[in-house]
Amino acid sequence: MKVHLSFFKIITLLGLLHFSISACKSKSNNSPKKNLSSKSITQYSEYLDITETKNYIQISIVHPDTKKKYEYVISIKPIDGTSGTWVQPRQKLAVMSSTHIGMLNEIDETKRIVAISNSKYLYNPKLIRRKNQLINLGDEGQIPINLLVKSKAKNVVYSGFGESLSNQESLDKLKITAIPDFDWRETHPLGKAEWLLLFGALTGKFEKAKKQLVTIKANYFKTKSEVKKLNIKQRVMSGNLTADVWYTPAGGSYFARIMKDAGMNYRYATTKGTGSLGLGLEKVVNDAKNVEIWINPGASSFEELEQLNPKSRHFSSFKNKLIFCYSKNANRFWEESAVRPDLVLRDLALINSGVYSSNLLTYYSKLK
Amino acid sequence: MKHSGRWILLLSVFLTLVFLHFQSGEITVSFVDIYNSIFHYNENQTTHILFLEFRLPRIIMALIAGASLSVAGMLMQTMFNNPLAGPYILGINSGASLLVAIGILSGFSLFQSTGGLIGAALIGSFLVGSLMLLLAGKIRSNIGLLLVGIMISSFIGSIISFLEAGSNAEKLRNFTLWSMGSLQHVQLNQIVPILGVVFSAFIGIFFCVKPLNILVLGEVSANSLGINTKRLNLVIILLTAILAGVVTAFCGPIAFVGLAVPNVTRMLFKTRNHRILLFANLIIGSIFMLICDILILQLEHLMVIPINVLTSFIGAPFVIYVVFKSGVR
Repeated sequence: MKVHLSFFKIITLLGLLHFSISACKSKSNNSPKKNLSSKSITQYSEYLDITETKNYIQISIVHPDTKKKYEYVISIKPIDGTSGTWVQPRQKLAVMSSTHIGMLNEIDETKRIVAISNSKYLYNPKLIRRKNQLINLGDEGQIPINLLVKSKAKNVVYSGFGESLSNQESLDKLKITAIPDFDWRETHPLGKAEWLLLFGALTGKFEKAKKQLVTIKANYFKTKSEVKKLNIKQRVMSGNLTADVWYTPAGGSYFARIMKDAGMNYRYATTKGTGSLGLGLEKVVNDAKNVEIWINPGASSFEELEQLNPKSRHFSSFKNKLIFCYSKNANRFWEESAVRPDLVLRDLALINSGVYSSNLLTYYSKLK
Repeated sequence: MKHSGRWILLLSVFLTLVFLHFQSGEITVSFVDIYNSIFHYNENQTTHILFLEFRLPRIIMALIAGASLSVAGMLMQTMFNNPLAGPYILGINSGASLLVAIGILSGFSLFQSTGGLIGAALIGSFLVGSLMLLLAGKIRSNIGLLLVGIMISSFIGSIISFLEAGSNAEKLRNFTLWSMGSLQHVQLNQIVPILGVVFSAFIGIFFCVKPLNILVLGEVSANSLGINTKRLNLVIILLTAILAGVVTAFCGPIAFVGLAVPNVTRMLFKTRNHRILLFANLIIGSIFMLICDILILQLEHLMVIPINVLTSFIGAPFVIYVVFKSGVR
């Protein structure tokens, strides 16, 4: 029997692991990170440094595992004495993740997108309108060069799931710049959002990106401080069963932090690691059977949830019908949640304080 | 009684493993918990829920899956006179997967029920089994038959991939999760009907023991001894489809059990008497799945391994061993 590792399986798995994945850094304080470069604009990102000069923007990206450094100089013309690949801004872009679309939408630059991974998972209304003009490149591990050339994209932003792109050499020959985006490995919600600056630099909307980021950070901290004042702490579990493994965010992960900032008492908040925990079903039942709220089961209705996990009805949250998922529009959540952690935090804070009205929540809704 | 030592040994191992299963994993179940959960069930007690709703259906499903797939493998190996035959490798499971895929991905409400799922898996298994039977008459080499089985699996796999590509995300996810295989999805109230179906198939096989013993001599000899081999083969395919189909419908495709266990049974008992082989496969198949599931539970604190991964991990090297050991051509 053939093992079908389809695109969807990867998406499903990445979806479940999105809230972190296996970078085993234990850093989990609330203060901004100390940057490699003291002049860097980024405060929270662990893998992105950006410095701005009068004539160019210097981008420095560090691979989370190999620590390989990717340097780019973004300027209208090549500049002598700079280190890194020269990238001209305002070029056509190929983006390999939904997150990238959300970032570009935030600065109103989706018009630069000429190629995407798969139009099936699109939310952005502007892109859906010109869906037929977009080139589908499929999985980033095997970008078809002919299609990429046809799209006329000059830069490709990819998620960097592997160590490097398998067809990097071909891209180099064609003078197409491939830029990795490790936002999915960030452990701070605002660190994820700071990757917006990369897209701002690539599209010539750097100032707008900076301004948006200031607003996002301000919103985030405002909600966080309001949550502290309320002092409501609901017990929360997260995730669901996939092939006998219950994936749930580890204590140091991005999503565990967002739940903590939303005032939630997450069942596995004290576990080590910044990735996902893979737990057995019986352990989760034993640990979390009586928690009040269940977040992100990957279903939009109780019927669907029972199909995915027939044993889910044994949890108190199921009996009390307090299960929430980003199911208002899952594609929208995957596009926007990285760049709008303030909105995700707001949703979770509302849920934690007992406000479940669909009109007030942006991404989340109670299971029907 | 011949083989009595072996039977006692197997039964002892079986009972020990059942006991070990209850003691395995991060959450162990004591006898007091078992007693109380059966006779004084309280849904507010986590240990009661853990035993009655989680561990008990899981262990029963492991026993059913191991026994059913092993007996299905035994039937295939006898019918094709090939030690490498089995419901997985001959594409029987693929047939079940295809019909389940059509059922889940098409969204027809008929296929969304438990009965619909079993029906789909059963029809799929039966169709591929019949096709293999048809092809077996034309292919003389054992390895050739095996290759055809693998090709049919690949072909069906590609059809499933086409279906996956064209379906929506929700249905696709449901099918993907099903195809990953699990002993944990079955619920207590589903166990009785599953047992009923599987038990009926076992009774059917028990009544076929004599013709099966004659079929071992070859189709020509069996025909000359008055066995209607065409009808017998159809019955075998139907019974195999029931056993493999039911297990596949509830647990997803589980690899290599149906191939490995009947070979182990023959090595252990050194007999071609299907009365012995039937019961031995029932017990050894159950033991095999219990071992796999205990390993999963024991390793759970390190990593959670899907059942299909473990059966393939143990079963695939075993196929290579059988090829070398028996010099299959």
